[in-house]
Amino acid sequence: MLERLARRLTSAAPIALAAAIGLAPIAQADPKDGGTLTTFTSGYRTLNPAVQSGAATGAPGSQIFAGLVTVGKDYVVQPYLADAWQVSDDQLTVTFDLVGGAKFHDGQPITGEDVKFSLETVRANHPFGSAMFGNVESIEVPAPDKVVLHLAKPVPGLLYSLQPLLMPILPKHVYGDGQDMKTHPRNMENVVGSGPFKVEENNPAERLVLVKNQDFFLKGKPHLDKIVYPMVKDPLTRVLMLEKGEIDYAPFAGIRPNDASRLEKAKGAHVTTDGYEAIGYVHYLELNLRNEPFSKREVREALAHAIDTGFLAKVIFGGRTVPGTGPLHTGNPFYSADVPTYEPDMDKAAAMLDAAGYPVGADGSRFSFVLDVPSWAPAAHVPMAEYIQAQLAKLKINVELRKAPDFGTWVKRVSSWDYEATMNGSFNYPDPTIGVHRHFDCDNIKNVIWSNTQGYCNPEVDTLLGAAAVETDMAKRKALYADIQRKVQEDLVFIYMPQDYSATVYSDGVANLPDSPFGALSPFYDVYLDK
Amino acid sequence: MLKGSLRKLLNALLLMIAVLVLNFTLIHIAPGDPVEALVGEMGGATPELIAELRSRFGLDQPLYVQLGTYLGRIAQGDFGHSLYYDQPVTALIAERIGPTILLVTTALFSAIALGTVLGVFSAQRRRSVLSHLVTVISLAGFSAPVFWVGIMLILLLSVSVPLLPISGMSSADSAASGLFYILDVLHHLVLPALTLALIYLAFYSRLSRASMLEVLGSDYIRTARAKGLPKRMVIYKHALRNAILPVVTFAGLQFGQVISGAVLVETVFAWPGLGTLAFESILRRDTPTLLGILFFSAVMVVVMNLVTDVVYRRVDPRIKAR
Amino acid sequence: MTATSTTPASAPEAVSPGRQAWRMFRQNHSALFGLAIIALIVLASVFGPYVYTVPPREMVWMPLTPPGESEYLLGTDYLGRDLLAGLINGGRVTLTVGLSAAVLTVLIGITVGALAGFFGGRVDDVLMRITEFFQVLPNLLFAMVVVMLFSPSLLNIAVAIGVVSWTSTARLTRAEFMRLREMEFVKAERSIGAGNARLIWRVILPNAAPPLIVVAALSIGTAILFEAGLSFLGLSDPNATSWGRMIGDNRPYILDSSWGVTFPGLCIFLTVLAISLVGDGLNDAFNPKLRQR
Repeated sequence: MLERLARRLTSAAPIALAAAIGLAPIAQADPKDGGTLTTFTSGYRTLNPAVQSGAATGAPGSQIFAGLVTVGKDYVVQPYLADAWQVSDDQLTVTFDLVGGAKFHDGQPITGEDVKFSLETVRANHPFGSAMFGNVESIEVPAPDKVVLHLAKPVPGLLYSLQPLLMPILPKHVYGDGQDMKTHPRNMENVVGSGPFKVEENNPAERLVLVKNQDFFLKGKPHLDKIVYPMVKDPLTRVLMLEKGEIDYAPFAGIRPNDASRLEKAKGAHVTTDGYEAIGYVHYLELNLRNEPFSKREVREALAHAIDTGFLAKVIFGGRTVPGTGPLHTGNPFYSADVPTYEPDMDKAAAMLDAAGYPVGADGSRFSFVLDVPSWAPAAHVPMAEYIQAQLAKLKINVELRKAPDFGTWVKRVSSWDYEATMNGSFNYPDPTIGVHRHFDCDNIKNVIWSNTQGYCNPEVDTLLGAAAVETDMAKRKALYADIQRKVQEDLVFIYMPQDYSATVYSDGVANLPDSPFGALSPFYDVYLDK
Repeated sequence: MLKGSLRKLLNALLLMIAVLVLNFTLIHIAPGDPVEALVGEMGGATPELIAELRSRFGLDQPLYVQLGTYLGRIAQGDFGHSLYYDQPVTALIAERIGPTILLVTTALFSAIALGTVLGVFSAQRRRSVLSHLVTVISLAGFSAPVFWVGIMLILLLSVSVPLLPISGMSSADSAASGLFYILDVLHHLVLPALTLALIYLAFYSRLSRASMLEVLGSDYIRTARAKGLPKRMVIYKHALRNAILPVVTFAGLQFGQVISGAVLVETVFAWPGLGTLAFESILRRDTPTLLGILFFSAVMVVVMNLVTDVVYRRVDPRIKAR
Repeated sequence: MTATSTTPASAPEAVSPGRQAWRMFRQNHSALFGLAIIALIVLASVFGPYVYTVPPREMVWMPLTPPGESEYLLGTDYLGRDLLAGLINGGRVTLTVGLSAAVLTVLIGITVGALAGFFGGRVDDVLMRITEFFQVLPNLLFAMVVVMLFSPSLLNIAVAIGVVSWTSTARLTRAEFMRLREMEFVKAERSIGAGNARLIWRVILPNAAPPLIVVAALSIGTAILFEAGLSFLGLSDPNATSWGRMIGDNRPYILDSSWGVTFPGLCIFLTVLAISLVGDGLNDAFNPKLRQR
């Protein structure tokens, strides 16, 4: 089949295209230029998204660096630094045409060599680097404004991986000096970017200030003069600042469910849960499947019946999220609700444990295990773990909670498979091949955190995953993922908890916020202030 | 005299080395691994990268080799690089010490000033209202957890009556500069400094009252009064001078413990000082930073002890004579 | 208690110093008040969970319900757990850790101080160097590091507090021992062949007891505050909830619930206050001179 994603566009066309297909909701009124958008940061260790995943770096990183493309509403890929691209019939060659006259913040031109360098850097240094670009066999730069990727296999999610969040366009003349990229001094000092905003002040203990890049390659953009990211670690302070209108825009971990009810009542503040679909933050109970009792599916099913995730969603997330039903977030385009579910039923759970060979013993208990509680996301993990402990105590299962003193200790325990059970959570993004496959692929049972640490291998699922990884037909791919979701829920690989509550709060007058499923991690060149 | 000072210095030096060795050993024999923490912060990594990082930080060497390297570097003033911030530890500490000193000195000096006044006056009239007030303040200040006092003050002065900012050292609006910036910082300083000062006040009002009572009861004051010197002169010229000695001593010691004293208050108010940096470094297993802070605070204690000693000699003529 | 007495029993006064002290203590109303509060808190912590049986960690009601608006008297926390049940059960944890840490503090402090003060010379030198070393360490920070590194269990927390808090007890004990070892009654015991161990534990220590008892009492209060600080920072046993941890857990929600932090804080405050009152009362009782002045 010949499928052409090719688009030929003039350099001014992205706006035209976006308007034509009703993407970025460009308001009737013309965007106003000027103004300062105040958001916040809770701390970042680097500004270079090529070596660091996560929102702390990604949100400002996507403003400082440009990407080949961006992702708009409903996952539609839009031109950015690449104003057009063609995919060959065999899906193995992708050719990008770059916008003419694009420059880095230091005035040097952005060329195909920089794109090549950036992709290689990401592949080698980003945590998802090899998952995203492992199948890129070679990169060719036939002309300064042309880049050709040669793939070993079709990579359906490839274009999503080329947005600034995941593949920022880095200046080769700055970073190509042979120094290690992860600790390169220019990741934090005197950062030379390619995106709509330049770094004016970078003081991680106090604030980050970005200013408009006057020479941005998309003419007439960005609209904002400044984006300020004051360091506000304390969630209470954030809420009060939002109430008073001192922060205009607060995405991600900024807002908890009870704050949302508060802020919805505040004057001039709006709360939305849009913009987190692609990130897809799911929580789960991970059981080490190598050892008894959790190697027995009946035991896992008994646990699933004992844990009322609907109740947890109400208590922990104020009823603002839904219980997870599988590895994919409900906002994911491949999500399927057609999976087995396990209704809360303590009697059934007890009966299943009896049948599985774990009756209540002479000591008054069925069995004991240690449940690890990671140090990160404590607001979700600690109550979940405490609830599980109390709930399983009713079934005469002794659960000892073990809180990892720091992040590294927990990572070490889980990645060396030296655990019985742990609370855990992970991100879907940006494509299931990156965020989801890693937990289920038979050949990804590794000593790496957030790989298949629980030790699950079902050849049937493995085959389906392999097929889904290279399937470029959306409908067929959807069907494959539906099968996968059903199978892993039948096997009860994980016991899914409620999905995380993520919300953005913004004040009146902040217009044209990205409507991408990547939300705050998208470039802000269309955002303007109308006040 | 000189020999004594030299001995003291040598002693302090040995103490510092012992602090370094203990902290280093403790942190390195404990379970857990800074590289794993770093890798986690990065979002995961391959075993090859983990091995590479480990060798880069020298963590694949035997412990005594690592310790030797570390001590050697310290001798040259190099405290290493933070594993998290990618900055030299000395630069990090220098950046964060300012806010902590600002907070602690403000709290300590206001508490000493007010505490001494309260203590001295209440010592003169033992059954007065003031005297009872000192008792209540000192008991309450000693019994209330400092972080709880901070939260109660937030509820009172930031939430119920929104007068003062709830946290941080400056407003999000970066436009403020010059005088406005200073005013802004002072505005943010009020609550944390007040919290800390209340706790210190409990201590100093009690201490100065006790020592004033002691001095007033001593023979030479009685003699002075018997000689018919005016009461006021006796109190201010003779008694106060002697009563203040323990206050000086304790202020010195307390200032040495500045970082420990500030950890809780800084955490409650998200004050960007060394206390919060220390706490974060523990959570991140940022070993070089943590070791640097522990060492730095030990140095503070030792230096303040020496300083107190000198001041004490100046204030107290009896010691000089001895 | 006077320098001339050989043993307390043959002191010139007819009543024993212990009884005399109790007599003094009894007249001190604030100290008696403190004692009553302590008794109440201990009783509530020991027997409370059997009387008030709401499980402290179960989510029983709507989160953030204010006090008096449900059958749960003091309201619920951010997870809908009964605050009163939490306080009653948290008291057990707080008191257990506080008491064990204080015992450890006093044991280490008295042993080190007694040995240094009794033997003097080289022994004193070495032990005082060690004491100085621990004094130089930033105590809260160092305890945080220890708890963090060796995982936050109740035992580790108590040990960490004990390890950083014993130095002042040691100095006091040392001073007392140095003063007492030169006294006539000690020399007399030595001359009739009492060994070092007997002299230290049986002869000098009982005579040094009064100030040490005061310090021991006060160190329970200090240890409780210390534990509260650690738990507030999240350095707490995940299987047990203390008052300090309740404050830390509920702190992010103070905009919607002040009761979640106010009540556990009050419990800590009252407990430590009561201990201080008793400590002060003991101090006055043992030093009648000071009171008379």
